[in-house]
Amino acid sequence: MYRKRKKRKKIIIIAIIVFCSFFVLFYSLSSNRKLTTVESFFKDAAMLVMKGVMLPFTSLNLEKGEDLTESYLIQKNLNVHLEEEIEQLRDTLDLNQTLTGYTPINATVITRNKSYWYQTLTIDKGKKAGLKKNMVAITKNGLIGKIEKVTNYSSEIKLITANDVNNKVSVSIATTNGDTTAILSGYDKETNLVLISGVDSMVEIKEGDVVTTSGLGGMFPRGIYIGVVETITNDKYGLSKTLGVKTSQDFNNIHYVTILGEEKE
Amino acid sequence: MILPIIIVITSLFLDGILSNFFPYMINDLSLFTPYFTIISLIIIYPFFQKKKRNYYILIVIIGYFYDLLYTNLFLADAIFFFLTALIITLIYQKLEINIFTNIFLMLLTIIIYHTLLALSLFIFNVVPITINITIYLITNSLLLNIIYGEILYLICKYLPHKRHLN
Repeated sequence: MYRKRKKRKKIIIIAIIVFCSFFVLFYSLSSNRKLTTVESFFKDAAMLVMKGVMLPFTSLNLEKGEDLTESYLIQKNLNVHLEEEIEQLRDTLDLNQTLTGYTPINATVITRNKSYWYQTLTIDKGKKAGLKKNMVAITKNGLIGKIEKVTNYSSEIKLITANDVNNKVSVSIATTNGDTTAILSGYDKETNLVLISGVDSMVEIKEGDVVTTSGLGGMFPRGIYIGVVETITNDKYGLSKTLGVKTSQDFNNIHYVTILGEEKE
Repeated sequence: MILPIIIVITSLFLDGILSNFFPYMINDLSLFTPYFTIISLIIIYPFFQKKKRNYYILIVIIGYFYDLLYTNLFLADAIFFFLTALIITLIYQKLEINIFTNIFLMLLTIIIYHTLLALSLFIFNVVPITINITIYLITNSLLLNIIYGEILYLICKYLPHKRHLN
C-alpha cells in the first residue's frame, strides 16, 4: 500500500515537472517575450563579467606598445589583428559622419547567440546608453539588424539573416525604370543570400540592382544599404519573383556595430 | 567540489570566447564549433557520484547562466542541461568510466542537446527547422568538443585529487 502510494506520488511529481518544463520552454522560446526585472538584473551582471572576460580579446589596443612576447609570429599575428581592428574602428567613424539625422551609438559585440537558429548578437550598450527596442543596427557595410531586447547595460541585436516570421524589412530596389518596394523576408542558408519575396513579375529587375531600406513601415530609416541583387527566380505561376541579395557584410565577422539612436531635432 | 566548478566555469567562458572567433552563419560553420559547457557536464559527473543532488543543482545553475550569456532564453538550456545530466547519470550507472565511454557519452550528449533544441523550436514553431541543418550542426560540433573533453578527462584523471575518476 505504502509502496503504491509512493509510486503514485513519484508519477505525479514527474508529470508536474514535465508540464512546468513545457510551460517554461513555451514562454522562453516565444519570440516576443519581454525581459523581467530580475532577469535583466542577472543578465546585466553576467554581461559585465563576460565583458571583463572578453576584454583582452576585444581591445587589443590596450596592449599596443608593450613587448608582449619575443616570438615574431605571435607579434605578427597581433599586428594583423590590430590593423584589422583599427580599420574597423576607422570605418565606423566614417560611417558616423554620414548619419547626420540620427545619434549614432557605437558598441562592441560581446557574445553571439550559441543557438545558431536565432542569429542574434549581444552588444555592450543598453538603456543607460540610450538604446531602445527596435533601434536599427548597422556597420560600414550596411544594415545588419535591429535591437530585439534591451537591459540597462546590454542589448540583443536580431540579424536580418534570422528566419523569424517577425523579421521583415521593407526594402527599395533601384531598377533602371525607377524604384520598386518589396519585403525582405528571409535568408537562404545554402547560398548565403538574403531573400526578397513577392516582387511583381512585371517589374524589370537585373542582377546588380542595389537594394536599400525603403523607410516604409517606420522602423528602418530610408536609404540604408543592404546589398545587390544576385539571383532572380520566378514563382511557378509567373506572378511574382524572389530575389537573392548578396550583402557586403560578412556576418561571421562583426565585432563593432553602430546603433541609430534617437532622431536629431 | 572546487575542481568541477572551476572546470565548468572555465568551459562556460571558453565557449563564449571561442565562438566569437569562429564562423557564425549556419552554412559557414567550421568543424571547430565549441560546446564546451555541455562537454564539461560529462567530465564533472564522477566528482558527484555520491552527491547527485549537488550535480543536478550545479547543472541547472550553469544552464541558467548559459541562457543569460549565450542564448537569451529563460531557463531553456537549464532544462536541456538537466535532461542531459539525467541521461549521463543513467548511462554512467551502467558503464564504467573510461576514455571510450567518455567519447561515447560526448557524442550522445551533443546529439541529444541539438535534437532537444531543434525539437523544441519545431514544436513551438519559433524558427523553421530542418533535419539536414540539425545533422550539419551536430557533425560540425563533434571534433573540437571531443578533443576538449578528452583533454579535460586526462587532466582530471592525473591531477592529484582526493577523488579520482575511477
